[in-house]
Amino acid sequence: MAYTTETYCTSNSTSSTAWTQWTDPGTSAYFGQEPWVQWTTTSATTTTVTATSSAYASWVEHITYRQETREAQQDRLARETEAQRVATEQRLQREAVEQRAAQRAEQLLVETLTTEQARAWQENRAFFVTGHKTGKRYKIREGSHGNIKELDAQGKECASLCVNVPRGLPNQDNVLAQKLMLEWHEEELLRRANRHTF
Amino acid sequence: MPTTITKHEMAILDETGDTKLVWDCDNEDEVANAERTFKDLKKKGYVAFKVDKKGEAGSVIEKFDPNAEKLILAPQMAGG
Repeated sequence: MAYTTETYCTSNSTSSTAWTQWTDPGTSAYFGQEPWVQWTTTSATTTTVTATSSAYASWVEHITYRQETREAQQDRLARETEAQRVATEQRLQREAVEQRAAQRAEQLLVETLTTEQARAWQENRAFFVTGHKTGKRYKIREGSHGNIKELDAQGKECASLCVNVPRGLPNQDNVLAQKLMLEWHEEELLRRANRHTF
Repeated sequence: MPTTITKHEMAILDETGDTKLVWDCDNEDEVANAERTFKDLKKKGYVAFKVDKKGEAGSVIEKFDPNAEKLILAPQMAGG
């Protein structure tokens, strides 16, 4: 009982320390014995009280000094090594898939950009577009969130637009969708975007 | 006399970068397959863009155009 969460020291304890008297709030059973000495085990039908001064010490010893056989150790190490190998393999496969996806998306993006946009993208990983409806200028840089900047008449960034394709698509796909939306469906993008002014 | 076959292309943005679907205007099965894919994606909320291969002209389309040089279908965007 001494180690269960249902058991706690009550304020009516007459003991000099909190560790010597406990009350079970479920049953109001009162435990006068020192809880770290008294070790109680309960099964479905019986309650066994071990009145020994070594219960806590035995418990700690059991946890700390439990011996692992050589075979069990080798087995455990083999399992850990295999799990690590599988995890590394899966990570590398995932990275390779993401890299191939990014390369495909990059190719489609560059094919779809104008000559000027493609040049800017290769140099700065960013390019400019003109809004189809408003005629405003926007700068799209590589990224997935908050990567569209609205420019004022002087060409200064005056607002940030946060709108993106679903997670899981490469950033280049996101940039391509943003470009197409701004150039040919600007009102819909503006309707969906969260706009933050500077 | 050799026949010039113009291939038309639909690029669908997805986790692999994109999936391309190519059709020949003279091939009814290919056109039907492309149109079916287009309609399925539109039902899912995709936005379809008709673009030229130089990236300088484009428009949003609601109906499949078998003569389009290139289509790009992007999933619906959401505010972040």
